[in-house]
Amino acid sequence: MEERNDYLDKVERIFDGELDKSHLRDDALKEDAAFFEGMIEALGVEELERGEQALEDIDIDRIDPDIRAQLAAQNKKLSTAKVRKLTPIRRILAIAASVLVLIVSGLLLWNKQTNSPAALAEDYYLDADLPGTMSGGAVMEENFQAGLVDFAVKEDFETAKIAFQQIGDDSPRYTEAQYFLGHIAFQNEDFVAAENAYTNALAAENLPGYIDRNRVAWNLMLAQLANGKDIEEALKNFLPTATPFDEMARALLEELQ
Amino acid sequence: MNDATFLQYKQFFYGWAQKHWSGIEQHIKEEVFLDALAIYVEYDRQGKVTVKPTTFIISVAHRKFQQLRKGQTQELKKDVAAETNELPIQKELVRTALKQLDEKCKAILTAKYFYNASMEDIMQETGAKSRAVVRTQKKRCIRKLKAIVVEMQKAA
Repeated sequence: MEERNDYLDKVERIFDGELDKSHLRDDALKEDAAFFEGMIEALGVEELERGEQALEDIDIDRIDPDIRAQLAAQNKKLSTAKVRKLTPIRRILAIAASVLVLIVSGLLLWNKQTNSPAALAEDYYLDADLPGTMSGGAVMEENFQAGLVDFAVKEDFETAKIAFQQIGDDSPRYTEAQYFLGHIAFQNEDFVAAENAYTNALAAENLPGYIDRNRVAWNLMLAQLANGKDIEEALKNFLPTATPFDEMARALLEELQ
Repeated sequence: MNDATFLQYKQFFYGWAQKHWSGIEQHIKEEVFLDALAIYVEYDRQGKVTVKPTTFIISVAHRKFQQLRKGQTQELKKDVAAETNELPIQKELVRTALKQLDEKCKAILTAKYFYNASMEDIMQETGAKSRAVVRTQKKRCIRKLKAIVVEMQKAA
């Protein structure tokens, strides 16, 4: 059954566009490929049948010209809408968000042994929270600010790592620096360093408002999973929490079992 | 209709059209989308839409595309009647198994594989809170369906 799931995973990735379709010629995949094709066609047939029933008393050739004109105008407005120029702060955060999405997507595309602890940890990994503002109010320590810009904007994780590592445990930014070091280590697949950094971040009594304690605990647990530790008890602690952690915990428990 | 909803339907429509009607020119697709959306808006106001908006819009568009292609040799692969009659055994088996799958799983798989929807769209459709949740749910649903098919094969 385990072997069959491997094939199913591979076929799923082919149909998701992550792997080239030429792999489908592989004999071992043919059965699952037929299953997938059947599934996709059956989904289409069912959805269209549902729609066909809903259209029984509807004349699709009679269109209200006013509604049509209104929608065409809306479409034109949305299609030609100028891209609003972002403020520097928003631009930095937008770039940071895109970078993080790309990094996580990249990690997922790396071909890992299916269902290995590292692959599972990466599957369930959550992106880094980022502060809502990078200036104003208190002046940030130079290293922290530099590290954040290197991490979120320049994608220069090695330089960011050095900057964050210079923030000692006597600094008010220590917890945040450890949090970002955890993310950098996880992305570098250095799960031992990730576990240490997240443990340090989680040890703080008070986390800054933009960092979700559950998210830190969740990613710490995934680093532990990647390090081969038993996380079932830790996972069960997430079951009474709010979504998405309860849903993910339930799903991950199922996969582990 | 607010802009966000408009864009959501448009994105769903183009995901589906790109997958199933890739040979149709862009400006025709746009016309069909606006026609389908106008029909949806009108009937929705009258309370006559009994299915999800995306299902309704795509079904209207499907018929419109069929009308456009009428007489041409290249018909949409998924002509409902023909498809139902011509499903090979494996596909028929999957179709029967699909009826046993829960609605949430069907919604996720339909959005992903029929509408070609993005992870963000599926999150909105299903109320999932993260991409990781959607990914995991999708995998679980596929395995569930496969398990049902395997059971049915054994029973046969």
